[in-house]
Amino acid sequence: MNKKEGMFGYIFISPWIIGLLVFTIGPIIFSFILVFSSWNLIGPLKFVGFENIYSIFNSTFFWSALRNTAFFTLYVPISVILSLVVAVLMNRIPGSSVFRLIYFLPSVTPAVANAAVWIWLLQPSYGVVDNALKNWFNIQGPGWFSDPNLYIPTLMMISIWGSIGYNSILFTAGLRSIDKSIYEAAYLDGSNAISTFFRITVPLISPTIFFVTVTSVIWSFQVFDLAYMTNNGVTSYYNITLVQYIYQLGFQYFHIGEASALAWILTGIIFLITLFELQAEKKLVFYQ
Amino acid sequence: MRKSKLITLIAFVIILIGAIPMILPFVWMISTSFKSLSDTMVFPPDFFPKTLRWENYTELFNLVPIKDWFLNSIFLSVMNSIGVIISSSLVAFGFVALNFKFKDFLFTLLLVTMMIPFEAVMIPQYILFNFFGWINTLYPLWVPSFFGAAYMIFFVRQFFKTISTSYIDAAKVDGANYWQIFYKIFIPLSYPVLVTVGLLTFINTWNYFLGPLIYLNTPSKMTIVSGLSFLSGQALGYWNYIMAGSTLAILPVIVLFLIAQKSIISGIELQGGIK
Repeated sequence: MNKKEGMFGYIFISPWIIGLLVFTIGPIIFSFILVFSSWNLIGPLKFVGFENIYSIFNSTFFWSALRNTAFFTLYVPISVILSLVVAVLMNRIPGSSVFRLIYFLPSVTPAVANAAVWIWLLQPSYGVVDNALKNWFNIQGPGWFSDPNLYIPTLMMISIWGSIGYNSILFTAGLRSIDKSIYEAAYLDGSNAISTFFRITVPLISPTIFFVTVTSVIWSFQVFDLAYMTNNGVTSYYNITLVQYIYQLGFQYFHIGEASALAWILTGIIFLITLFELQAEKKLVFYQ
Repeated sequence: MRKSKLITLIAFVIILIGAIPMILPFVWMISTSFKSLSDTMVFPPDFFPKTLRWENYTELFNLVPIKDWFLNSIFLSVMNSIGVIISSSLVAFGFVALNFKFKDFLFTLLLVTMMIPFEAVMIPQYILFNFFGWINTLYPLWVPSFFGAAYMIFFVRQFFKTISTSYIDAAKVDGANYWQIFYKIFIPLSYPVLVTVGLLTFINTWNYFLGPLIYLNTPSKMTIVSGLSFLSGQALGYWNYIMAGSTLAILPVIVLFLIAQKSIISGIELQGGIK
């Protein structure tokens, strides 16, 4: 390592260093000050100690947002299982490239546009889904977005629809890396399709299953676009998600301190989930 | 072997049935965008409207500044792609080809920042850009990309690492400096990866909602996605207009995906394999 090389090294990474200081470390330090301050963006900053954190934990909106978000996250295992099935089935059929394209469409289009069309499809009484239920099955369609008990399951359904294509592409890549001779050996040993799937495919792509689950859970805790579009004054405030609550506190009510506290609580939750999943990885994932 | 053919047939049927709910919402979106308001509520519906009402689109252009939204989205997507390609290839080169003090520490720091969610810095960043006077401008939505995106730096670095160090040594013997090694050897060898990085960034920027929602207030400054959210509040109940806006929002990414699907899918697969 010579001096000149060292200098060039810093020159090449300097964009990132500057960005790190200005857009990440600086804001993080400032954010820690904000957590303990009361501020509305305009007036003077006032130190309030742990008041913001107390008021978040005492807010019923926080607990319902946490509950809604955690409940919403349960779409992940469903999506992972369906995506895995789709990937395995696609692996053995003709025309899979066309199907892969169709399944992937909702993953590439903006979530806001996806939300818009689903709101239209599930519109009470005159939306096409409710119309079909009424005319063909004589069922009164439920309030997909307006019924508080059905709201989160509806978001889960839309998210499953939107994530199968993306996840199954990751699984397809995982499947491709499995040595074909293992399957031939299993076939010769008389293993049927079901037991081959559970005893060979699943263990061998467990690293991919794990990766997909971890990233999906992290994303699902940050759900915003879909929640904002479907719950913007339409349903009750008790249906908000965590990031939506940060947005409301910070950018609609300008309770900057409370919003910062909530942002750090969310970050803490995400770190805890990541730690937990890394622990689980050691037990569940099979590495060749 | 007959049994295996039967399984393939069943698999085909399942995938075919599954494909219907995947594509139908988009068919419905486009179909609604060509209907008159009264036709949107007719049941049983016409999946293919008898007459195409193109006026929905022209009226939409008069109703909201959708041309501006489009141009803003294109500008941001292009600028972010350029910014991320330039910054992540420079930084990745620094980490792969050069030795300097604290390199391992800094690289660990890069990995740590990948784990920090945007929400953690969203509010202080807003205050920072407010201090710059950048609220209601496009700057906060593209300038940071020129200062590196941790994830993409990592992504490019993984590829740069596969480039043999013997190239670097040979170039040094020939008297090339680091800058020349960077743009004469590393960049040409990694065109496909950089194209993938650019495409993924383009699509992510195009689809991005939270940032434009926070930073852009006046309608003419919005992007197609944040504008669509604005439109769905403005044109309440006019589903033909909202679906026309949605169609315009999804069309460019779908076209881009159809043109470059190999590159995009390989990028997504690599992301999955990075761990």
